[in-house]
Amino acid sequence: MLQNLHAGEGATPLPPSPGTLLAVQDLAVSYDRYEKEPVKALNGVDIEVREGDILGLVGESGAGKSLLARTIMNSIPGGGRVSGGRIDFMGERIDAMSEEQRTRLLGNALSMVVSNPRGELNPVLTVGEQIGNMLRYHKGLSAAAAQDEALSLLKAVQIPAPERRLSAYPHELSGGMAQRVVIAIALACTPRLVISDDATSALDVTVQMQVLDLMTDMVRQKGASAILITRDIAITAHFCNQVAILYAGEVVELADTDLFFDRPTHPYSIMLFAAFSHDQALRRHWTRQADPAVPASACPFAPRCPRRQHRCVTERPALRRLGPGRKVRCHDPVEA
Amino acid sequence: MQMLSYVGRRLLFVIPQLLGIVFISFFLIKLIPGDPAVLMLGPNATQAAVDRLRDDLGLTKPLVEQFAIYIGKVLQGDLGTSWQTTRPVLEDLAERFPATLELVTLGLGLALAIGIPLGVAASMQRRGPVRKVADYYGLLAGAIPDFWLALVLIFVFYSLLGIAPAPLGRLDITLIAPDAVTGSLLVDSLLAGDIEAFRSAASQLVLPVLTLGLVNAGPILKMTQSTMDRTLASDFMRYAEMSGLPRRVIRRQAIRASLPSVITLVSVLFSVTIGGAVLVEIVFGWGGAGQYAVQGVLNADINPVLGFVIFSALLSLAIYLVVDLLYFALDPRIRG
Amino acid sequence: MAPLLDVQNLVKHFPISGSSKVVQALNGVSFTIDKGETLSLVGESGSGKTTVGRCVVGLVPATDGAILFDGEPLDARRNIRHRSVRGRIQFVFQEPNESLDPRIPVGVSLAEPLRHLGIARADRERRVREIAARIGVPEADLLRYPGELAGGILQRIGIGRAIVTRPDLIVLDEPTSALDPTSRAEIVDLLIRLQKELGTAYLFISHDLSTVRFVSHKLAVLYLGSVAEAGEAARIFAAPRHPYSVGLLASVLLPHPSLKPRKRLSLEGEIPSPVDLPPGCPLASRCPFAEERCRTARPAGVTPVRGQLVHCINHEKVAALGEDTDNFARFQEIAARVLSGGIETQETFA
Repeated sequence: MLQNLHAGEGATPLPPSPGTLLAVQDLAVSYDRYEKEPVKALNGVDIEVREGDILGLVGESGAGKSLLARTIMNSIPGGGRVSGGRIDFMGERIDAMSEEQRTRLLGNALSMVVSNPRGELNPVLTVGEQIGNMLRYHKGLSAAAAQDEALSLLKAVQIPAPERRLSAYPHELSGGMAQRVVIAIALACTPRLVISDDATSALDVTVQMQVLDLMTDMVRQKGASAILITRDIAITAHFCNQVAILYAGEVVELADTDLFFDRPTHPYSIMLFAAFSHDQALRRHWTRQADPAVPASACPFAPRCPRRQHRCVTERPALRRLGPGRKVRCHDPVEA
Repeated sequence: MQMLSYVGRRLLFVIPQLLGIVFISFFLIKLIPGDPAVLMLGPNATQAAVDRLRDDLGLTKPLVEQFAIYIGKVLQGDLGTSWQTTRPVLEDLAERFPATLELVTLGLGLALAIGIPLGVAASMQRRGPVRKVADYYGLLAGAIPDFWLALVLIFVFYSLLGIAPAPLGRLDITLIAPDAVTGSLLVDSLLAGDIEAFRSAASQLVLPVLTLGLVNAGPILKMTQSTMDRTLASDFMRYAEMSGLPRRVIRRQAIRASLPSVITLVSVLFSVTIGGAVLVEIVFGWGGAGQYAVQGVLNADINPVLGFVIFSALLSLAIYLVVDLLYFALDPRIRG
Repeated sequence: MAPLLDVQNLVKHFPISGSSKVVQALNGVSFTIDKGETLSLVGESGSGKTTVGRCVVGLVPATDGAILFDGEPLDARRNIRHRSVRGRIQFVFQEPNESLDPRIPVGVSLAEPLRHLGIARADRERRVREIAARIGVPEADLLRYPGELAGGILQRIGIGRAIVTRPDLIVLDEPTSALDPTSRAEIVDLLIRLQKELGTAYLFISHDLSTVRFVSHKLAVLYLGSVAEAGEAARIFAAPRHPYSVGLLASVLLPHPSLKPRKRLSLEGEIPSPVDLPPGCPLASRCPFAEERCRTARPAGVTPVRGQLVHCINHEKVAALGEDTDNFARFQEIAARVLSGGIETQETFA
């Protein structure tokens, strides 16, 4: 359980409880602007991953899910910076990662499966070389041993004709194959936590299923944990045991999967659910454009919320426990 | 195999390319004011003598016919005669072109040795002294005229300190040049075993090479730095950082990815400097090809100018072919 | 009555530069669309569905086969710019921010097709306003540039630009793939409403099966340039008869952990490349029911059930796999329960 649930906003986060693999507490990321107030892209995010969890992180474009992943991986795009909160991984604080931490942890105990593999793989190195680099620099393997291990990794990710792929260049691979290669790279050094940043949305549906099955199988086999970041809430229903919903840079609901899908409680979660319904009237009720009469509010969802109240504009809801296995950030969540 | 057929095709193109270059140069040069017959005979010549000379030189024929005659001679290896030196242009250039080549090659070599490491260091170090030095140097190098720098260096090292030899050409005037094998005094003197000539040639080269090197290091530095900056910000380099690869591996990969831009720049600089080093050549009394061509322009002596154009065009085409082959080797995406 | 669009045996091969091989994008695709109905083309990479769309609007010339629009063939002479066709067939692209000119306001993009039809300015302005109201875009937004608007609104503009000429047929190439699930649902609502109001037919090309299920009257499943199965959408979703359709439908994920897709058959490996297709059924290399006959000749279409055409000699084996529980219907029940809870009157804000 997160320590500072009932501490007010702005309280100093404490070190997380032991047994927690990754704890993100009240994380804020801002982008400075010239002669203007900085923009807060992440506004106090709280998530927690324990041993064996597969957490699904859902949000729409611009909600900040990829930004969160990259912040954890010390690679905030476009010049942003951590402006509040902390990130702890395996008992170490990593929100202000030192160079030594970077080379020791990233790609090793903490790795990421990226979503644009052909754009993120080095175009002038072969697949074998790139997987091999991980093994050589993190595990100290010799070049030859690294190639052998790379081959068995390629086999494990079920890439067709793995021997040939070792000497292939990224531009020679199809989307599905390139995705398997970056999965192999992420799993090469037996990580404790794998973050998948929307790794499957660009793939064909049948390949997407294969890749999701593969990733979650391998994660479980190696006793690792994972965060699956996606725009598609349906994926989390079948591959994750925990769900976190991200809206406008905040976590608005956090729950065990079964509980969540039995009854989502945050109006935004219900809106995401409604997108799949064929009942137009019900869908319209939960899916609204921002009401221009409502000012920018303390709860960022208020202008679009069918359950909005006066206090939603003035008072930011805290992330509060709503029964076992669930936390919601809402003044008036839909009770079970 | 692919490369051989590629080279073969490129060499085929050289002929029409050269023809085009010479064609345009021929007609442009004919536009230069100045009647060669008048200049050759001096201001006291009679009109009849001038007319007869013009007839002999074939200057009364239509331009296209003059061009055809010229090309015919070139194909037989006859580049005509310079009326200033009264020697065949081919002989003149065989002496002078290697001089310029040696100077420019060493000068650019020095520029690379200064510019690339500085550019890489400035890029890897976001803030700090190295970056400032690089910025100022880039500014200065772009602003300083090469002949001015040459004069300053002569003043400091020859006049004031007396450690440099007199700027009177490629070799100490008391020495005899070794037999010309390659045209490069350094190589030829070594081949002939003439150590004194070697030492003299080397010391005569120091200041002019330093001049060209210091001035050209500026653009090379800037190009390296900006390409490295862009590469380091690119997706695949950030992925390498997120994979926890050590700093030195990242630097190596970034340099490799930045090489193509730098190589292109160097090839252009090389072609340009063959003619552009003329001011430095004049200051040091080098007797190079640039000087030769400029004299030809000033005195409407067409054959040296055209001869120079042909030589430097051939050289440029050869350089671009080498550059393209290097690209082939560096970037697997081009190999297809 | 003749169908509005009749595609007969469409073939398209793309030459590969520097080689004598070709990309066999389409290998004999046939289907028809009647007035006011929606036919969806589904398939994955290499299925050729995008190529079909481009052939129909003439962006790409067909290698062989015929496309008849309103009874008359479409060809190099009678193309979509021809007098008798102009403005009657339109196209909606996948990426709205790539298909709208970034340097002109979206209102101007909306009016562009009308300008090309030679419609007077006053009329153009009136129709643009009317369309903006139909597609639910506030007039103030018409003055904005594409870079200033969100994906959902841009796609509405893309659709608006397509309906502004009152076409008989719109080809939509993955109109919702680039959008969030919420915007996706809105766009689908819009398309259905417009079809009711204007009677436009749609050729809906998509890989998003849940959306397709919602909008389609007819369906054609494509695999590597051939039709695997075609017919009434509801029938195919309820009881697919082609091994590929079964595999495809099994990969649709619904947002509830209890609705696990039942894996009734497994397609090994990846989709092969459309260059150098072997003769015979394109699925033979992956199909669990494949036999010798499958590899020698492409199976002819059979109609085991009225309204459903299958190109497979083993369609009975597929049918024998048994009915799958209709997860879609079950999900709608769950959704109805979840969405109905918590609807209370909200405190009005003022």
